[in-house]
Order: sequence, then C-alpha cells, then structure tokens
Amino acid sequence: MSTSVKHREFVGEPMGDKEVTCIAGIGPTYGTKLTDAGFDKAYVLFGQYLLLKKDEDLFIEWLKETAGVTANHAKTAFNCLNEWADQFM
Amino acid sequence: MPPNGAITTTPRSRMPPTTPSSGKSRPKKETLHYLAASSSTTSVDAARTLLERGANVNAIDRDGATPLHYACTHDNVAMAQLLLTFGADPMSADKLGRTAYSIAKGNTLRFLRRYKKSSNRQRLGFFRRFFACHSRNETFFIVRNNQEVAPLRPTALAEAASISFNRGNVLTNSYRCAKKKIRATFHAIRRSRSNSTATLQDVVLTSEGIRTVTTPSRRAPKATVYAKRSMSVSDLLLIPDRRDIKNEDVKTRGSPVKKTRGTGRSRTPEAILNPRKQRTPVNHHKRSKSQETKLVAMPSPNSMAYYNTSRARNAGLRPAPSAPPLSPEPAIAAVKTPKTPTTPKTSKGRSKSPANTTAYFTADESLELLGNNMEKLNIESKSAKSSKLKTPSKPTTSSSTSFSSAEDDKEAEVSTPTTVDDGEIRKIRRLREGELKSELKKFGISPAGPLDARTRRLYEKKLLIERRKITNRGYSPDADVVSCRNSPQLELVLRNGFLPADFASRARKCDENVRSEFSGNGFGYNAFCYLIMDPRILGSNVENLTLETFVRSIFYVGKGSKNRPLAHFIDARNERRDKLDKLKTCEKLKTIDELWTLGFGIPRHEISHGVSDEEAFVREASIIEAVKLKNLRNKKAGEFHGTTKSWDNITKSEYGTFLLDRALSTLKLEGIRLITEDNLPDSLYPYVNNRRGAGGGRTPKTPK
Repeated sequence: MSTSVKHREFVGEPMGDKEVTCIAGIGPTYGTKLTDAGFDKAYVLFGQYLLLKKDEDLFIEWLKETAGVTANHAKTAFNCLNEWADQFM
Repeated sequence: MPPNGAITTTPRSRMPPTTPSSGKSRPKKETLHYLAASSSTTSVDAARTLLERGANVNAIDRDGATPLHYACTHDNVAMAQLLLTFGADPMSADKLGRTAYSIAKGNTLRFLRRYKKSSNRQRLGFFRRFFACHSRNETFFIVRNNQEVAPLRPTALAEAASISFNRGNVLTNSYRCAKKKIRATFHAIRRSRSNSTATLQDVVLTSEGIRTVTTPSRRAPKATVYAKRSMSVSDLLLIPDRRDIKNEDVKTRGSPVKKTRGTGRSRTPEAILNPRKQRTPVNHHKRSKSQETKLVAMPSPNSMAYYNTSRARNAGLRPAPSAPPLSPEPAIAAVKTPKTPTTPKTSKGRSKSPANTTAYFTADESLELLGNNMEKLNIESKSAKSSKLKTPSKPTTSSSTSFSSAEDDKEAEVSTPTTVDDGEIRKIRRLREGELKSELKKFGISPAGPLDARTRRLYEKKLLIERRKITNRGYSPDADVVSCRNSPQLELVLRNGFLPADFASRARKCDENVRSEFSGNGFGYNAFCYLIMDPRILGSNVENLTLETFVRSIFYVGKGSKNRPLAHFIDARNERRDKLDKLKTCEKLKTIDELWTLGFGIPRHEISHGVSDEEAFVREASIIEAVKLKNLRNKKAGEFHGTTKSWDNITKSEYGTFLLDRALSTLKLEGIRLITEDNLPDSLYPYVNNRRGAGGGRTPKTPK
C-alpha cells in the first residue's frame, strides 16, 4: 500500500509539537472534533495510541467513537502513528 | 433599553450587548441589563466580572426593571442564577408592577420556583453547583456559609466573592464535594453519549476545575446550554425511583428535600440521552414560549394551543400570590389531562425535577420494551439453536433475565445486529478493574493497557465481542479458561467424551480446506506430524485409552519430514552421550533424557503422513493450540500458513481437538511404539544416508 504525502511527512521526523491534523487521516474536520475532545496535539493522540497498547482494533474503535472518524481514516491514522512508533521508539 | 412591552413581545433572540438604537445615551448602569438579555457564555462571564467589580445587581433601568427581569424574560437560567447569587431580588417589581418571578419563563421559571421554596442551605447548594460547573478559567467561586442567603446581600457576597476570586485557590470541602459529584456522573454521561450520535458535549476535567466544551454545531444558545448541562450533571446524581415519581404525581407537593437536588432541572438529561426523542419536545417548548410571550401582551388564554403547550410546565403550580396579574395565569384544566405513558411530556404535572426524570424514564421505557423483546428473541433463538445442536453446554440465558431493568445499553446497538443485548455488557461493566483485566486475559487480550474512563469502554466492548464469539458457538463464556488445562474446545470434548456434531462438522470443513489448500503442485508430500507422549501417563493399555489420558500424556507435538523422523531423539541421544548443555536448556530433550534415565521407552505417534510442510505446520499448530503450549514442552506455538492464518482461536483449537481425536483412533489402530536410546539409528538422516541401516527406531514394537 502506498502511503500519502502527509503520512510520509509525519513519519519522517519527530512529531515535536505538531497539531493533531498533521497525522495522516485526520483532516480539519476530525481535527476540530479531536481538539474539542482535548486531543489538540499529535502527541496527545499518540498518547492515546500508547494507552491502548498500540492495539489497532481498540484505537480505531476509539477514534470512531471519539471523533466519528471513519474506519478507513482511522486505519490511516493508526498506520501513521504505528509507523512513527516503529521509527522513533 | 426598549420599553417593557417590547421586551415581552419580542421573540426570544439574542440581544446584542453592543449599542442598540438608543445607544449613545445608554447609561453605564444598564450594561448589566443588556448582558442579562444575552444568552451567550461570554455575557455570563462579563456580567460576572462586572458584579465582582461591584456593579449593582439590583440596578434599575428606566422602566424600573432589574437585570434579573431581563434574564428571566429571556429564559437565561445561567444568568439568572448568577444574578441571584449576587443577591438579585426576584420579587422586586418594576414600574408596571411585574416582578422577575412573574415574567420568568421556561427553565428560569422552574428554577425560580424551586429557588423560592428552598431553604438557605439548599440555595447555597444551587450556587455551589452553579459555580462548580461554571468555573471561568482557574477561578472558582465558593459561596461562603452565609447566615442569610435568602436574597443574598450584595455586600456580603461581594466580600466572599472577592476573597475567593482573588486567588482564593483554597480547595474547600464544598468545592471538592461538588467536583467529586460531578466527576462521579461522568461515567454515566459518557455512557449515555454513545447513544447520542451527535455527541454534543464533552466535559473536561482540568486541574483548574471543570470546563464544559461545546461543539460548535450546537444550535441552542450557548449560555443556556451551558447552564443546563452543568445542571444535568447534578441531575444525574439523583434519579428518583419510579415509584416515587408516581407518588409525587399523585401528591400535590412533594417533600422539599427532593426538589432541591436537581437544581435547574431541565430537559437536558433527556436531551443528552435521547437527542432524537428530544427533538419534538424542543419544538414544542419553543412554540409554547413564543405563544406565551404574545400572551403577556394580550392576556386572553383562550386558544387550546396555549393550554396544550404550556400546561405541562405549569400544571399544578399556581403563581405565587404576590405575583402581579401580568404573569400568565395558566392552566387549571391542565392537571386533569390524561397521562399516556408514551409521550415524554406526560408526567410533567409537576414542573420540577421528578417530572423531568419521569420523562427520562418514559423515554427509556420504550428502549426497555425493545430490549425485552430482543431478549425474548434472543432466548428463543438460542434455545432453538442449542436444541438443534444438542450441545450440552448452553450459553447462559439466565443472566439475561436477571437484569430486569433495561438501562441504557448502547453496545447492543453498536455491535452486529444479530447479537442482542443479553445483559452481558452490564455484567462486564460491573467488573472491577482487576476482574476486567483477568477476563480479557482469558481471551488473549493481555495484558490490557491502563484502564481509565477513556479506555475502559473500549476494552469492555472488546471483551463483549470476544464473549459473543464464543457464545455463538455454543460454549459457555464463563467457563474458567485460565484454570482449564487445555483450550475450552478440547475441554468440552474431554468432558463430553465425544465430539459434538456441529463441532465435528466445522472441524471437518477446516480439514477439507487445509487439505485442498496445501496439496497439489508446488507442495511437497513428505512431511508429517508426530506426538511424543509420556509413558507414565499413557500407560500400556491402548485399547481402553481415553482421550483425556491421551491428551494429558502428550508432552511434545512436532512436525517432521520424512527424512528425519527421529531427529529429536537422536539429538537427545547425542546430547546424553556427549554430556552437552543442551539437555539442561531444551525442555523436550530434558524430558526425553529424564524418561530414558528412568528406563522408559518413549511412545511416539506419527499422524498426518505424506502431507506438505505447510499442512503439517498447520496441523501441528492447531494441536498445540488445542492442548495449549503451556502443557507442552514445545518452545513455541506453531505456525499457520495461508488462509489458516486468519482463523480465530476457536477454529484453531477446534481443528486441533479434531486432529487429536483422530490421532487417538489411529494410535489405537497402530498401537504404541516405544523409542529407546539403544534402537536409534546413528545418523540424523537414516533414510538419506542409509549406509548404516535405517532400521532401529522404526521397527514397530508390539503393543503390550
């Protein structure tokens, strides 16, 4: 599966202080929803991903519930964070 | 300020706090009036700031109206509460003799009624809750234990306020108490949120206090929503028994204690729980309001519509005798209206908390009905299924009946439509953290991550799904998997002594799939699987060998290829001979060594001859899955290939059990053959390097 530019950009470097919308699969709409839920930065979402023990099902399910993210986008986001974790952790 | 007639007749709209038509000459002291009419969060904040700075809460405009008049007439509960906290008098009359109380409407009216009746102590509670929910930035407000709160003295309060505002960051007990209560309700709200698809509210607990975050899509004016929501938090704290409510409906007045708890009780609980159901009442409500405003100007409440709409709110309650005649005298007929249990409006005979709670329950009752029906269906389908399959261990249906009241159960909707709520989710929810974790562990979701309010629901759901998977196949999910020696599937067969029909047919299908997938071109045919057993457990009576003994005796499941069938034994022999370390580290060699030392020949049974490597791997892995790795000396669980990778654990162990069952029958046919150290070939590859003669280990022993 080829990955998006956004994905590659995110995975390519430490996430630092990036916004949550920098994560692949999280656009402005989902970004707003997540920000409203308190997940304003990429690292906060990453924290949730870690909190769920990098479990794909759980994370996707959580994204769906929290921000109404579609399964596809949630999977993209998961892959993005997962790959970042593989690279930098 | 517009004249009063204008105020009452204008439909509810946002009054701009900016300069209106009469702008320039607007006296400073009327700012609060303008703010009071606006229902945004910022205006509440602004008003609060003004009041803190000493603005007169009972300031009058040219009509003699106080800010509270405006707040009440625009149904700004939050603002009204704020003003009351700072000592506004709801009974001060304007030039036309109207009091704030008399022109209040909607939730504000409801609040004022309760406020009027409540004691000082209870009023303190109102304010405390209000400020606990409405903490702006990091400041929070604690109403001191004023001796006289009735109309709170502006001065006394300003003093108290200034203390707490000027970084009075003392977490007093009262504040903590409120915070705790609110936090306690979070779970309830969060759960209820999964039902409300729009998920419009999110309460965030920060270190500073409690902040409510609204999604921008919210249609209602912010401040009101704000206040409502904050109230709903406390509302959820105390949901009276349904019987109580009925009693209260019968009685004209309930005990005052009850009323006080649900401050500013609004529709919100219902709104949060059932946004769709709420829609109608909301429109209803609005309509009634606009009509009511007209009625103020033209007080001839003849239209049936008027009675229809506002009766629910006003029924059973007369305006206070002191209230001037301008207030709409509503509804004498209202009390008599028959109550149908389906409409959410019904039991609002008393326009106060229990009434609304009833509405909440009635709304839920439909859910309950639905749930019960579903449960019935579920039980039926289950019993049909179990009778058809003749599976002895049926899914426990008793659990579903034991939960009589259908609480809000969203998971049932979320999961697949075929699965129905049978009370399991509630059982799961009641589990404590440790219990939930150990439950998850049973299903291989282990170890679960930290369980907090955010993650717990997800794990609950996952556990539910796993349990349902098992239930759907006719196993009892409550079987203690951890303490079981083998996989639940194998245990089931061991208990029964035979393979249930459906079980066998599923496994046979798996077998067919495996056979067709891993044979033919490109696949070898020289692999096989074998089991090494402990002769001490196995015994020698092969005829009367039970599956249980057979399974228990197995200590190694292996996959071999034809040219090295005895690899491990030869390894062990070599290790023994050379006194190498491997005997200590490698469990299976250690066991072989042990048995040999004790003088036993080791029984070895080959199964699945002439299959490809992949197939042998799959079969081996399935058997390991069934027997469970912990009962074996195998180092690792087997590998699955191709489509079998996507099998779930149940399928795997079912297939493994099936293979074991067959292995037992072939063992019975072939008899036990024992391998001793002496009859092993020298070479690891007896058939490839056949120079020395392959024979030793292969010569069958006659069963004893």
